[in-house]
Amino acid sequence: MKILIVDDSKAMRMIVKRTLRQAGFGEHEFAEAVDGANGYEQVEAFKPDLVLCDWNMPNMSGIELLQKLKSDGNHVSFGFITSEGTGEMRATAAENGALFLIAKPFTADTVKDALKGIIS
Amino acid sequence: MITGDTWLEATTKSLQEMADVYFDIGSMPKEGFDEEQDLKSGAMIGLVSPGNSVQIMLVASRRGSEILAKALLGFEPDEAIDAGDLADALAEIVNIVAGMVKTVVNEQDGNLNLTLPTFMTGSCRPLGTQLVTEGRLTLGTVEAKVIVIHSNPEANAKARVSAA
Repeated sequence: MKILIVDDSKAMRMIVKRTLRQAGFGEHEFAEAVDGANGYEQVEAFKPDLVLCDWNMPNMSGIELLQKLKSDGNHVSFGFITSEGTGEMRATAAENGALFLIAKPFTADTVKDALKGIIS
Repeated sequence: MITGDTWLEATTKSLQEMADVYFDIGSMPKEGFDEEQDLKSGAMIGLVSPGNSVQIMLVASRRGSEILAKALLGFEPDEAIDAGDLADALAEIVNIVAGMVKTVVNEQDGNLNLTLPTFMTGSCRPLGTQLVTEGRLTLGTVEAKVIVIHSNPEANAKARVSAA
């Protein structure tokens, strides 16, 4: 399975990959993008099965990326991993088709639970 | 308006929770913090709304900051960390914490937005129209300091009167 990690923080991309490995998903193929616009390009080039995306990013935010993909007719599995987890954001994410929103800080168990049924 | 003590308490608790999740304390070397002697470094981030304007800063010694950054990134204690990774990791610590703080105070102010996190070295000097609330804490094994700089409504009102 191909997983694209979109986050403007290199530190957080490293943490997400480490946590995925700790959660038992280390054998999957990973790619990274540094913001929403780069994420959009990477979705085209890498053709991921799952996008794990930050919310607040320069150039194009996570929610803008999700909306752009949806308007293109691309229904790749999409989840947020973000610093903010207010009820309003969770509702907006769900309305736009996100499968989950994981608020930081997150553990391997949190990630495992969120990805249950999405990653075999 | 949210008080300095409320910001400080929310920030300190969030930092501790973040450290509990991400830091492997057993592998972290101990590091103290002498404010008079040590070169300070850390990171800051703002939370801003029409009713509140606050800067949250995490400050430690330079070595303490490196230990915190390595702990977040999962580096070995003796592994080298470059300046870019150090800045990125410390900025990410305050970014994570600001998101947690925003959730904690959401009922008091649901309009807060986070600013971009910033790495810093040296000392900070608040303006006369700002209030400072600060506290010490131990993050993992590293002694550090949280500084909350927030607007002072009385000073701002006086400034507006004298300007008029």
